[in-house]
Amino acid sequence: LPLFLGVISSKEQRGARPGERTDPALVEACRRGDRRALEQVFRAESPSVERLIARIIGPSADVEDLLQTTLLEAVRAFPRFRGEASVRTWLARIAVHVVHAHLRRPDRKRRVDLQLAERPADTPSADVLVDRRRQLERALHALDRLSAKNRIAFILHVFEGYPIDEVAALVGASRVATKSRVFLARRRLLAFARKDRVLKSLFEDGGEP
Amino acid sequence: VIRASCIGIAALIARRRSGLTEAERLRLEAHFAECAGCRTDAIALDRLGAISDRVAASAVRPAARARAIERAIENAPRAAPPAARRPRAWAFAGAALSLIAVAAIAGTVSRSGGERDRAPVAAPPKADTAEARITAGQIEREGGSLGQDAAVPAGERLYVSERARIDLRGARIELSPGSEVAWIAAAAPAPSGIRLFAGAIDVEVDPAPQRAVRVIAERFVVDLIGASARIDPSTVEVHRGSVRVTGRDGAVLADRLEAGHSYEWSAEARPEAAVPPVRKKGSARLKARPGRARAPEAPEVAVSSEDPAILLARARGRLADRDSASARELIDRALSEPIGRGTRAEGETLLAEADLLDGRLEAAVRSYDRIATEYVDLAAGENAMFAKARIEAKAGKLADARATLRAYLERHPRGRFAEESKAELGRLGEKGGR
Repeated sequence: LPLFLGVISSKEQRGARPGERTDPALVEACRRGDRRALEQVFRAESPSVERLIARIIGPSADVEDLLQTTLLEAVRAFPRFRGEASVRTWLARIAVHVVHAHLRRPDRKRRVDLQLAERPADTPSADVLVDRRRQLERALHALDRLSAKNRIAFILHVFEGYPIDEVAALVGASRVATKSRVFLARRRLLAFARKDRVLKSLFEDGGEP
Repeated sequence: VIRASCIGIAALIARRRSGLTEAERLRLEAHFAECAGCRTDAIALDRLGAISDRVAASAVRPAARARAIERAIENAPRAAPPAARRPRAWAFAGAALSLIAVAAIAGTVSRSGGERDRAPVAAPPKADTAEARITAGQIEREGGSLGQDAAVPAGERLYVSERARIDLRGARIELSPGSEVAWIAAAAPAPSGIRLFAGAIDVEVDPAPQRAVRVIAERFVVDLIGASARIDPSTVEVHRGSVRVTGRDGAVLADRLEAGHSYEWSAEARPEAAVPPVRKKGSARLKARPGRARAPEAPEVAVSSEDPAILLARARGRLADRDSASARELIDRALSEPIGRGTRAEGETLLAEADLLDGRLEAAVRSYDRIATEYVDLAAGENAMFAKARIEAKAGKLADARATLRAYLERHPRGRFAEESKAELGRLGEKGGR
């Protein structure tokens, strides 16, 4: 992981998106290890980190563990954070590398909690609920068939909406390599979905998303 | 069979969430019109994206997050005092500038005489939290979360991942998980209230005089005085007392909706008489839920008008679903309202896109030509000119396309499509012919 953080530092020169810049005094306090400042920054930024992790690995109890690992790495790396990127982008980079390491673990078991994937506000019917869970399960299965690198690049670009350049910076790869990863992942995912009995309905007009 | 043109399109489809330019969007739509494979791929990716959105939305669990933050911070090294820095030349320059600034401020204050003791900066704005407080659960906001007994900030979008409750004098609001709301502080004559973006809320207002709460949903506004009701973006169910439901334009939808009755917004047809001649269908009407009594006083009258911007946004959605008939209906309704030039240009552009979708290339060309002439000072005029050239090229009218592209470059030499126009001119020049 420290190797990854080296990559992160070298990629920090990317600018923050408007509105993402954290108060420099707060960042300085975090560098010194001020616990209140760290808590303030983490409370503000962890929801987006958590969402990013969940998107990549799926709804799982592992999300909490990976968030904690990300924040631990951030605490250790803060003294080296130069503040050239926004804290949010910097934390996203750490999260991406933590998740990448997690996905590559050979002993990893998918602990999916399908209950998590439903927003009660939707109040769908029981049939729709069952269909959605089945689709979620199959979609996660399809993503599991992709390599960790391809999966992360694809999700960041296609679902999370990061431009290719930013994805390249987040994963520490070249722009060309990143485009290639997204292309391969997309092709493989769609090919699988077309053959899958449950996911096939996604291609039909009016099919339940 | 994957066509060569589909390879570039795949990248555009993948890039839709990170943003496309107008030219790319037009290219994508033109490709979708003739390539069913790419169209279904785009639909499938959208739906996989929706699944991913649900996963991301349900990931936020405040208790688990708080635990993770706490454990991470336990490992933080103790804070060290800030390192002393050696003074540098620019620091002295900065100090000198600061002294000058201080002197200038002091001069200003001394000139103002008796105001000298006053604070030199404006007093912080008064908290706009009024009397609303969180009494159960936790609410997320941009930049952190609000726990029990926290004051509810007005005007901020708030997210509820687990059930939460807001109390104000004489009223309680239960927020269901997944709700997205914003608190509205009282501003006479309007009572305090809540803007509901998503999810469902249970509002209970004590039956006492002067106790009122207003809920503003996307389609309607609910006023509760001494009543209790469950409200979501499309439904109102009254449990106690009576409530008044009005449209966002002020039209009364249900004057007194009594306990045991419900109001449901639906996009169904409204009477022909209620709409101008060019419009065919309307939007909302009162509808009794199956198995429930209908509100007795509720009029069967539709909302008289809607926000043209919303109508056009919906029309764009219909066009994306390739439903040009519904899109035209919505656009016609928007264009019949008193709207500004920008909105009118957008509406007419959407009509041209509907023509394009229906394969009426000549009509689309005429529409784009009119937009380019009438709205020459707007972005819509520039877009229309380029779109017209592309359609002409597609219809095989190469000479017309070349003329339009030249006219475009003459009018917008540094326009958004200047580079593409030059490239297109080059390609058309090679093809030759009319």
